[in-house]
Amino acid sequence: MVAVFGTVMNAVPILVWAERRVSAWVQDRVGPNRVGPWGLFQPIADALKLLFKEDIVPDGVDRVLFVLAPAFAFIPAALIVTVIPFGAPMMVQGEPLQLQVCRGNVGILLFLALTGLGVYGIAFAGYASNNKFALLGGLRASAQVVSYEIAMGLAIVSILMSSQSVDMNAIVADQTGTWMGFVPRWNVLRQPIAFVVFLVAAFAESNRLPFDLPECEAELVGGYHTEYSSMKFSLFFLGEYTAMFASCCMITTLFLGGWSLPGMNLASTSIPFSLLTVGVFFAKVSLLLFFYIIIRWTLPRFRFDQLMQLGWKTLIPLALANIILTGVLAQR
Amino acid sequence: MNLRDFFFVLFSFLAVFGAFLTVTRRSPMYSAMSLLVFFGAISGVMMILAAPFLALMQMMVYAGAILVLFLFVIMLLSLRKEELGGERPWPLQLLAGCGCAVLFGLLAVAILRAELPRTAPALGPEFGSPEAVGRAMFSEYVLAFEIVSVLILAATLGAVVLAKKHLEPPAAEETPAPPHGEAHH
Amino acid sequence: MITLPNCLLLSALLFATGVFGVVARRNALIVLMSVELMLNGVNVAFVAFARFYPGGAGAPAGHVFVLLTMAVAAAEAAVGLAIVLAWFRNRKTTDTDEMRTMRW
Repeated sequence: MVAVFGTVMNAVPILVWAERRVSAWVQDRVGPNRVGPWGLFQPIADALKLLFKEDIVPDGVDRVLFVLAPAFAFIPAALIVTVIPFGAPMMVQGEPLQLQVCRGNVGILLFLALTGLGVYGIAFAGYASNNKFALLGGLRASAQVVSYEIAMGLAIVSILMSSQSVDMNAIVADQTGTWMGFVPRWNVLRQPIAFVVFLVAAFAESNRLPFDLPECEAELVGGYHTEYSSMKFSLFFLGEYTAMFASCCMITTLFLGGWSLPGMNLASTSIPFSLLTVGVFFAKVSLLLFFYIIIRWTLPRFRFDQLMQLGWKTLIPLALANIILTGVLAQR
Repeated sequence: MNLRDFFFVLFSFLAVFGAFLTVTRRSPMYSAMSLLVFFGAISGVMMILAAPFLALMQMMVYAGAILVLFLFVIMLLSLRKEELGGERPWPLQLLAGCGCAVLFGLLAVAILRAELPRTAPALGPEFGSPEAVGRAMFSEYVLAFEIVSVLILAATLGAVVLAKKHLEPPAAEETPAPPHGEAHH
Repeated sequence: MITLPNCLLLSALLFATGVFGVVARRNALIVLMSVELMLNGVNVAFVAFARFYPGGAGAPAGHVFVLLTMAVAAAEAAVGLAIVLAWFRNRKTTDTDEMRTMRW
C-alpha cells in the first residue's frame, strides 16, 4: 500500500515534467530546463511554490463543500492504482508475494466504481465555488463521466467475455502466449474495437484534451477549479494526473498484456524475474503516457454536443455491437 | 468484539447517520453528499455480509450513476436559497417523525419476535462472487432479468421524452439526453 | 454482533428514515433521494437474508433481487429526475405540494 502510494507520488512529478518537455517538443520550444538536469526538478519547484501560496477561500462559497472537494477529487484516483497487478508474483521466503495491493476476484469492478466516484470532486467544486464558470465545468464533468462510463463498462464487458474472468491476474494470464511464435496474444489485437472504445472513454474520464470540457480555459476560465488556489488547487492537479496514470495502468493490464512479454518463462518466480516484469509493466505504461501527452498537444478540443454525440451515438452502439460479436465468436 | 463486528457497527452507524442527514438537510446538495456517505456505508455493510460483488455494484450503480444524475439535476437547477421552497411547519414534521418512529417500532417488534436463524452458516468461497450471482441470475431468474431490461428501456425512453424541451417540431433543438442510470449489461 | 435480527433492525431503521423523508419534505429532489434510502434499506435486508439462509443453498436469490432492485432504482431515478426537470422548467419550483394540477 505504502509502496503503491509512493509510486503514485513519484510518478506524478515525473509526469508533469514529461508533459511540459513533450509539449515543448511538439510546439518546437525548449521547455523547462533550468532547475536540475534537463529541468527535472522543475515540478518540485512548482510544488514548493504552490505550497507557499496563500490559500484563499473566496467569499460566498459553500465552505464545507469547497474544502472537501479537492479530497474527493484525489482519493478515488489514488485508490484505483491498488487493483493493478504490477508484476509477476515473486517468491519471498517460500511464499508467493502478489504485486497487487487489493487482491481478490472483483478488481475490475472496483476500478469501475472508483472511476465513477472521481467526478464528485469536480461536481462539488463546481457547485461550491458559487461561480457560473465553475458550475458549468461541474455540470459538464458529471454529464461527461456518466456518459462515458457506460461506454467504458461495455468495453470491459467484452474483455471479460473473452478472458472469462473478472480477476485482473487472470486477465493478464489470459494474454500470455503468442500466435505463430511472435505475435503476442494481447487483447489489443483480439479486441481492437473494445480497445478503441476504452481508450477514448478513458481520455474522457480523465478529462484530458480533446475532452477537457470541464476546465476548457478558452470558454470557462479554469472551469471547476477557477476559484481554487494553493494546495487545494494542487490536489486537483494531482488528482488529474493520478487518474491519467491509473488509466494508463488499466489499459496496459487490460489490453497490452500487463506485465507479460511474449517469450517470457512465466513459471519463474525468482525475484529478479519479478522485478523485470515490473520494469516491463512500467515501460508499457510510459509509452502510453507519452501517447496521452502527444494527443493532448496535437488535437483540438471537442464541442460539448459533439462530445455527447460521440459518446452516445458512436461509442455505446459500437461497444454493444462488439459485445454481440464477441459472444458470437465465443460460441464456436 | 472482533474486527468484523467493529466494522459492522461502524458502517451501520455511518449509514444511519448519512440517512438522517439526507432527510434533514435543507439544501439538496448537502442531502446528496450525505447520500454519498450512506451509499458508501451500505456498500461496507454488504461487504461484511459476504456480498463483495453487490457491494461494488452498489458503488457503481448508486454512487457512480444515480447520485451523479442527482448532482447533475441539482446543479442544473442550482436553486438559490429563496427558490428552495417552503418546508412543512415543524408540528407536521414532528408528527411525521413520530409516525415513522412507530413504523420502526412495529417493524422492530416483528423482527425481534420472529423465529429467525441465530447462527450464520459457513459459506463457500464462491458465495457472493460475480460468478455465483451471474449463474443464478441467468438461469433461475432470467425472466425477472428480461422484464427489468424492458423496464429500463421504457424508463430511458420516458426520461428522454420528458427532458426534451420542445416536442414539436421533433428534434428541432439539440438537447443532450440526460444520462440515464446505468443498466446491467 | 452481526446477527440476522441486527441487520434487519438496521434495514428497518433506514426504511423508516426514508419514509420520513418522503412524508415530511417538500423538495422533490430530496423526496426522490428518500425513496433511494428506502430501497437501500430493503437491499440490506435481502443481503442479510442471503447471508443467514440456513445451509446457504438458496443464497444467490437474495443477491439477484438486490441487483434487480438497483436496476429499478436507476430507472426510477432517471424518470423521476426527468419529471422534476420538466416540472421546474414550467413552474420554476421543486415543491411537491405545488404539483396539484394534471395539466398546465
